[in-house]
Amino acid sequence: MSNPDRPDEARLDAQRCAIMDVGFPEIEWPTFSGLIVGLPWLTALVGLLPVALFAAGLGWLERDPSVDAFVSHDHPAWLAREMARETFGLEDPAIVVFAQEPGTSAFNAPTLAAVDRFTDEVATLDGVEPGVISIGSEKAILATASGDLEAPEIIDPYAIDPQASLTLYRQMPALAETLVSENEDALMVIVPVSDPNRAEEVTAAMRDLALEAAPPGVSVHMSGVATMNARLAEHIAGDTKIFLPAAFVVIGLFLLLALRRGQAIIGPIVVVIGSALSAVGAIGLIGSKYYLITTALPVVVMAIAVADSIHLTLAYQRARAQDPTGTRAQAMQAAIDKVALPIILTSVTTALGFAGLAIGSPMKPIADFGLVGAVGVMVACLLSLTVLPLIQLRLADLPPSVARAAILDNLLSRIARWSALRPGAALALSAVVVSGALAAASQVEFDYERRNYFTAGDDVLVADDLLAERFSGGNILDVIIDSGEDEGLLTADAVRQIVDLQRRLEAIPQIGKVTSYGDAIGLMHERLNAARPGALPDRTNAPAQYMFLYEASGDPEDFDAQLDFGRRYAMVRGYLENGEYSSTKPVIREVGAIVEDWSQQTGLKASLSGRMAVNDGWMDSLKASHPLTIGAAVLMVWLATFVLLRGFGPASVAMLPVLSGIVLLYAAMGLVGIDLAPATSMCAAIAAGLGVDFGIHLVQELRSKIARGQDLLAALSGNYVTVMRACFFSAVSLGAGFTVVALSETPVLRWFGLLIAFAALGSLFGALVLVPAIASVTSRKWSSTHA
Amino acid sequence: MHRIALIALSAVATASLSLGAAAQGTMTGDAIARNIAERPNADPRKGTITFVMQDKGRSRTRAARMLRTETGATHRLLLAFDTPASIRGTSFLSYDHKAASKVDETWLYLPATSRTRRVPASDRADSFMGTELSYGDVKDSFIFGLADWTFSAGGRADNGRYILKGAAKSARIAREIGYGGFTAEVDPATWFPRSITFTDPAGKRLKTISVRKLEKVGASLTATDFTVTNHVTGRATVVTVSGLAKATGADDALFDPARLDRASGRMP
Repeated sequence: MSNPDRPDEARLDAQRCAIMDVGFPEIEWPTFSGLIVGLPWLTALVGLLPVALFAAGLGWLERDPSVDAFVSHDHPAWLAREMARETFGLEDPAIVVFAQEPGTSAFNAPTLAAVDRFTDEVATLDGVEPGVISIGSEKAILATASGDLEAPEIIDPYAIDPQASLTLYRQMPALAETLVSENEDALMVIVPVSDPNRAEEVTAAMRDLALEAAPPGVSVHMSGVATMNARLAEHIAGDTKIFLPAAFVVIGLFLLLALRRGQAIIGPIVVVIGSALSAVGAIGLIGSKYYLITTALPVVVMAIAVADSIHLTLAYQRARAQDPTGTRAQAMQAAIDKVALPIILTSVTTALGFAGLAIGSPMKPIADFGLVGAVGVMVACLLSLTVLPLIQLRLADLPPSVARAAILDNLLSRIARWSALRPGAALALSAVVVSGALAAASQVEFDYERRNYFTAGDDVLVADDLLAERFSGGNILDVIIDSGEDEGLLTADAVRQIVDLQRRLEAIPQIGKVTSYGDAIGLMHERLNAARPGALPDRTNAPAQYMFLYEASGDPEDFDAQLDFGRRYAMVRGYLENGEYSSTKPVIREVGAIVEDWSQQTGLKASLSGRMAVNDGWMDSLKASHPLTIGAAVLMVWLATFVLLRGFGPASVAMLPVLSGIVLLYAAMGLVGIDLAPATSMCAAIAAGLGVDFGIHLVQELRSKIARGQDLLAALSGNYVTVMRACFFSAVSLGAGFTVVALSETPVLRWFGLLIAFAALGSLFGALVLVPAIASVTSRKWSSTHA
Repeated sequence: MHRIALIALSAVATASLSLGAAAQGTMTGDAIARNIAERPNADPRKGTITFVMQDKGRSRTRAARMLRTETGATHRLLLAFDTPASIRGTSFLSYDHKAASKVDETWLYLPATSRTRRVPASDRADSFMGTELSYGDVKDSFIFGLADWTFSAGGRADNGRYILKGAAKSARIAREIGYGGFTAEVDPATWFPRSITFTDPAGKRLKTISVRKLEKVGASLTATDFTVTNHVTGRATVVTVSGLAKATGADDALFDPARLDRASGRMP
């Protein structure tokens, strides 16, 4: 098989190179391929039945757009937050702000009337829980000259008097920067909702109501976790509408480019639709939900599924071109014989990459994404080897003259030959690229900022900025206090200890404001006894009696957000200036230390809660599990490749492009400044499953030819180039498919799509260069040792 | 001529309807409400009243010795709290004046400050001492103000009680009393409402009062076991009165706000 035109050094005996293993058999699938082509109805049934079964799960699909879905429900911060939600009812509310132009007082009759009306009417909306808070619901705590307690409403709904309201508000320091902006130019309404994770309808109704109530010159801004979740749900709906048509167009175009005949793309389209339907249906079948990240699933599965179709169809077209006199059935059987094993191998490894997510990730949306992604990949494999051949042997024929893509094939062939002939240069180049990539990858950081889920200029971000600028911000950190017994927090000691904790927390520079029921007890003490400001009661039962007095004159529910019904639990709430994980981490650590110390001193139990603590908790989990998740995915892919290729060498060679793809992925994150957060943390595991496909196809084809006695350069020509072309189009259509995800309204999903597309292309070029280079290097070594 | 005929026709129709109603054992809403309002309620009473406030499976209990008297012009209610310990010695006194022109008065003595505080005049809709009862509920004492409501009869329930319905006469009244309407089951034997479901001024179901037990002191009936359930908050208050008896010879000085600090120790 030697070629006299080739230089001597190029005549490499590759029989014992790294990609070969002793006794490697040439696997043929004559019975299998004969059955597929010979029993079309049975084949179609076998292929379509699982699709029908999985698609049945579509009926049970349920959406959950919340960021909370990523939190393990047995995490201490989650449990504390759920307890706080149950007890105090103000976790993850919707926040509505009526804002005047900066510097213009919001204490004017129209704005006060609007806030008062909105406070009353929003409480009647379905999905709103009791306990709406604003200065329209709050009372001032005053004492008359004779020492009697008065609790007048800050806004008297029957006679709105802006000056009177302003005077009353200024008597209540705890309301500053929480319900009224620092400059008194914006008023906040906090609206607890029944289910912050499904608040689309109620927040839409709130917005309508607020816009209707707002007088001219007053803008309405909505924020809060419930609003953000509702906005994310809108993103999911919007993305779903865009993703599928865009994916069809993009994938269709690349299929057309690869298969070069309009009707030849019908079969692959059936495969991508069937596999995407199965993956999404599997969500319902396993009782999972359609999370934010799941929006990308159909596109991801479609992009992956198309690769198998390209390999089979190109193999069929090549078989037809090589034997134009043979029947279509014979050509299809030959194509199945050729690609069935690589398709199965690559599908199993890709599925295992997804399964790595299911095994390694503590976050349910990510784990479930892995599981149903694996289902989609395996269904694509099944359809590609059953339904697809039946369609393609009728629709995918090409005249021999157009069966080759001469320019692309020539380019790919040159890459393979250059790598084989200059393996040192190829490996050195790869080493330089990977080293540079490793340096860039070392810059990647774990971080999370909920703002990253929204595009700049999004209403939610505008509202969030307003909260940060004019109020204490919307980044809440709570400490839940448990006195151990009912009425236990209404003693003078308990109040003094709570206020002490409050002051210690306020001393942390990153914490803007801290509130608790101690504020109100202090005010009552001060005003009922003409005590100095800041003084606290020292008679044991005074707080209980002040509260009793307040209940006799005010609304007993006024303290529900700070003190529970049994007066056993209290909430101390801090407002952080920044919501970014990396910024809040040291603050939460410091607060944790203060709380622990305080708890030991006082004997009162205390636990961290609130949005910031929950975010911190699950980001810690993500950080701890990420290496495990990626490691599990890579190991499973390698093990599968090892078992299926039956050799350490070939499995390791097939994995090299994967590793280069993953390193490049992290490098891109480091260079662009993309944080490792829930969505982006999935990329490497998925990329591992995808990237190995190219290595497997190339290694399998190459060693198949070497096993037949061809030397390396001969093996790198002919059908190997067709496989390279199939890999190229697979990678490009895969990359294009993932790029569709970049059309998302959610920035993190855009990054997710672009990063996997980048990793897939990195793996492809790694495979194109590294497989021939390593085969060549190891052949030379063997030749020089045994010559 | 036509006018005379019309009047005659109306008279005949009214007479027929009244006869028909009497034949069926039904009454008009106004008549039922009047019977309730005329129920004797002036006997001085004493006992121990317990409020068990419930929320999501948790409860708080407050218990007080109660003394209730009525002068010609004013209902007076004195409560001396004994439970929980943190408010022991706290005394509550209210004057509910029958004359609409006079503002009701309330005082609270707090041992922790050693002073009697006047509690600001509360709206009838405001919560009574942190319970699910409103000041209006306490003041009305299971009587529907004839000036507040437009009544209608809803026939009889299966248990034979009259169904009385009320709608607040105006939006202003609805705001003041905190209720837009009610439906009550009224026992014809005692003219005591045994269950009342109120709606808020917007017409949404607000709360239900269910009376389980009545006791008589003199001619006056007192609900000694009833529950108030707030359908909006899910909270409930169970009110029981034990040891109900006629308060004979109650010292009038007990109802002096200036001596409220001593009331707890002198309650009969």
